Amino acid sequence: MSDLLRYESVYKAYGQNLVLQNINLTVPEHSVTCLIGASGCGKSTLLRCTNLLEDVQHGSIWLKDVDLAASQRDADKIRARIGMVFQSYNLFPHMNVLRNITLAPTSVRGANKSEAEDRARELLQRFGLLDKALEYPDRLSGGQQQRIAIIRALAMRPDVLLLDEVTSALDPEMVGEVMDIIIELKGLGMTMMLATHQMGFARQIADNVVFLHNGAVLEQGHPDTFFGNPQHERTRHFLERVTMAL
Amino acid sequence: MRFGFHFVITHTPGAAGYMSTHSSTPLTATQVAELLRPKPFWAQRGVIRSLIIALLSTVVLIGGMATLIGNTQGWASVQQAFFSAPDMREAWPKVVDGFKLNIKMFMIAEPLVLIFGLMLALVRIGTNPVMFPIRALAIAYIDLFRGAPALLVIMMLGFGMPGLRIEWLPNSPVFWGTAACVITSTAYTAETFRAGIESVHPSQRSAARSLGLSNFQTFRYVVLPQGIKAVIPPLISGFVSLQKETALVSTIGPMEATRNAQIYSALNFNYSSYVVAALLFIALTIPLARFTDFLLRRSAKRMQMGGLT
Ligand SMILES: Nc1ncnc2c1ncn2[C@@H]1O[C@H](COP(=O)(O)OP(=O)(O)OP(=O)(O)O)[C@@H](O)[C@H]1O
Ligand SMILES: [Mg+2]
Repeated sequence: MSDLLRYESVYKAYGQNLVLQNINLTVPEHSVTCLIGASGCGKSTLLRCTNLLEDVQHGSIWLKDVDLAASQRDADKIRARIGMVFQSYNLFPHMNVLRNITLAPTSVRGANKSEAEDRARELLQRFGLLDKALEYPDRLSGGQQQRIAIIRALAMRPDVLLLDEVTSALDPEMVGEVMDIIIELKGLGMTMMLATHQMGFARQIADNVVFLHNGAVLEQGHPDTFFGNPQHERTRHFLERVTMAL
Repeated sequence: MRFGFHFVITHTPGAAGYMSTHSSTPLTATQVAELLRPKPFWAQRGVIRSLIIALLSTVVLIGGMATLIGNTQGWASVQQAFFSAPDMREAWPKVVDGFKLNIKMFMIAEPLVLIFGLMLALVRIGTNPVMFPIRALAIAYIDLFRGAPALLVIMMLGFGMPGLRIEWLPNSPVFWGTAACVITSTAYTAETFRAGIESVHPSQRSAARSLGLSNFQTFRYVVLPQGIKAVIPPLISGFVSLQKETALVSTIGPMEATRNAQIYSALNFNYSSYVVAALLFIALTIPLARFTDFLLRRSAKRMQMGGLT
């Protein structure tokens, strides 16, 4: 497996606040990487930098052979290759589901409308949401909205999908339906990076678990070794705290 | 756990009998259909009662006010001066004729106000350093014409511009009056548009950019439509003000509704013609006001349904 993403010595600061320090990380193709760590440790920031929604102050982020950190000029093209899904869904409330999904393929890729709609319907069908094609987002449950947001990102056929705490805003009974999609995507070979607070899910789906602390990678590894035998005192402490909270 | 709890409440015979007087047999399909059958407005619970109360209280209030005013010493002469039916009838055709000019001015001014207002808002919102001088001008313009009373702007343009005697400039007062209305309303409308655009949550931008939309596409397809939608009610309030502002153009001469009313009043020593003009303006405003109410109610309902976005 070749590496799809490679982070080399990435630093990111907001003003005087160093939020990412010396991140070195590889994400192989078709793998799932879970970012975990306490609130404010930099998970969202790392994902937003990967998608060029934020720029980094130092280091390189390679997407195959393109250095993202150095390509702000082609940012739009690169963002189109990287899908991102947010905690708060962020569907466009003034467009129906179909239009939400086809907006980017038609306006960024120049796909013609009927082709884009066919593909959107196909995706909706696969994830059991075809009957919602003409609804507006405010008529959908949180779980349905989040699944549509994932489909919207998939419609661009991205190389990698970044998922930032996509189940955190959901009522408990809807968490499962969104997790199921992610599991299905893993089965289809989608490369994914996800920030999550749900250790059970991370353990189930991850190929690599990355523990961030104060913006640095403190420890990473296969979920069995990571959760079974954490090396660092801080990691153990963190895992104890989150399992106690459950 | 939850299912067990549910079971105890509904299906233990003793508990069910104790808790309510309804029998626990489910409704038949016909009974359910009856429940779901749409009822006309007046057949809904409490509607008749509310209607009667509203009617009674209106009669009492209006009747009371009418008696109070009608019993004042001067009422007869005030009624004669402002509400004389023969005068109203006589003034009506002239005032209506003038009102057509008001409508014309409004119809020409409003689209221009919307276009210029949006353009001005866009200039003001931009951050491109190249545009700095234009942005500064836009801010100066908005500050100036939001503060200046419309009446003064109308008089300055209406009397001042023809006074310059520039040959290629039109000197019709209708033209300058309309222009002055456009100029003042544009400043307000620009601020309304700006408020709407800035009210769109930044996460909407992030979502659009993450899909690969360019800065311009994000604005065009995601931010602008939502921003405009958010300010449709205040924009309509702006329509109403602009429509009333056209009455001020009478000060520089055009024969619009208030001007004709004034002429009638001066010739006949009676103010009823003004009341006719007022009624015409009001009649035009009411549909817009109800439409705004409708839009506000609808958006409130949407909010309640709660999209997180
Ligand atoms: N736009 C911003 N401006 C300034 N500081 C920011 C900004 N966004 C995030 N930060 C700071 O960067 C740090 C990392 O934030 P980040 O959102 O990446 O954390 P996180 O790991 O995603 O936390 P959570 O689990 O709560 O989502 C925090 O200290 C936060 O205050
Ligand atoms: Mg976060």
